[in-house]
Amino acid sequence: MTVLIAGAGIGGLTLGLSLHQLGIPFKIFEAVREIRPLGVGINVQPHAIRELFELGLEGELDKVGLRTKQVAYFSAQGGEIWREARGEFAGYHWPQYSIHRGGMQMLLYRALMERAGPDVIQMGAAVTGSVDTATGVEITLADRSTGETLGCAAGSVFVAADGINSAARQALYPDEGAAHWGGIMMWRGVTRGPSFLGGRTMAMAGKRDCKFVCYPIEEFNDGTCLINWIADRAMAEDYVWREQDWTVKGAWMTFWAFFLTGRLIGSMCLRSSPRRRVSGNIRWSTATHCRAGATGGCRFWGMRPMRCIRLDQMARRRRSLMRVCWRGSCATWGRASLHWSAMTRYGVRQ
Amino acid sequence: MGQGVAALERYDEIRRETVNALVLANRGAGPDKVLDIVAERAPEGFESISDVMSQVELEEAAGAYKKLAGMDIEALNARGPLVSVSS
Repeated sequence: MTVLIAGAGIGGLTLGLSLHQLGIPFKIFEAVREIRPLGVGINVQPHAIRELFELGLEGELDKVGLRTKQVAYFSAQGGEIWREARGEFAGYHWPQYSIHRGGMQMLLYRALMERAGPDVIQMGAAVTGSVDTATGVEITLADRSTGETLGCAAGSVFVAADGINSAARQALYPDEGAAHWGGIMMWRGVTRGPSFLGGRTMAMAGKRDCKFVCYPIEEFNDGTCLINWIADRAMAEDYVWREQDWTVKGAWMTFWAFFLTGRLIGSMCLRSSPRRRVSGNIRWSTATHCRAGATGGCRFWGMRPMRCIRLDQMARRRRSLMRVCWRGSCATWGRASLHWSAMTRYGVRQ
Repeated sequence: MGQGVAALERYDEIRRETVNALVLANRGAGPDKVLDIVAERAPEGFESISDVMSQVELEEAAGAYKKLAGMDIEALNARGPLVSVSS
């Protein structure tokens, strides 16, 4: 009995580790030739972490991620609404981790290689289809970059772990259609900055259609940390969104004005023409809003200036964490520190 | 699919509703609900959160999502892992 798995992402690799633990043969087929640590921060909750601990990965997780202590919610004006402990600090037997998605994937990959050997993954082989046979299932494989077919593989069970845009899922449920967009675009970045709110806090501020989220994913000895941040914005219904992808580069001009004060936007617009910064695949409409805002004061769709995350030691320095995030990333934004993705979900099967 | 069709369909049957509810909460109101309520009731900000939402309301909003996510502390601590070599 061999389990065939499409995709060596977090799901496919974890399944591989569990099957290895149970002594069930398996083979993973991954479309890319080399696994690279893509993405930015994610939060992994206790109910998932316990399964990874069960696989003996606690020490590895502590090397790559941080045990989250609390989550705190703030209004757009910076008023604290709610905070609550997380993971083991809330009484769970297992922690919540704030962790770099790519770092976590590489951790799982290394563990699987050490335990099961390199033969359990075939790289550069995308699964293009599956058919039920008398003895189980047969999948067809192809090299995605050349289109060359790579033959077939047979097994007892086939599991599609090939991501949000899963080809295998589409084949199994052809009427389901593509993933649904939730109406929110997320601009994500990672910036090194001062530690805030005790150093293990996930903070979020604003409201659903204009929200800023940040949390540390790595600590350094000098009181700084690697801050993962996300700027969420609800977009108009007719907004042309792209497929969810961790690797698409973002452009500052399309979102940051919505999270800053009117004065700052004004100076920014005077200093440089927004047009120059808008890259080909970003719509122009957002920049138009920026200009209207710059002359019309500091309100955008009812959004007050976001002084919200001026907290802790940040308050004494009279700088907001959000601005630290912008500034830090501005210095490196040509070097893959900023990505954007549509927040999508699959349809709900009844 | 393949040999384990019945087993996989059974798994799907057990998990689907649970996961559906979680996906909708994550991509819908979910944890953002509290932020939206506060923004609506106090668009200009507040001095004290108790003027905007009661402690009971806040706890209810946080608790409802947690329970949905299967993160309910006692329930998670009490059950065994999904995969275990000793089981």
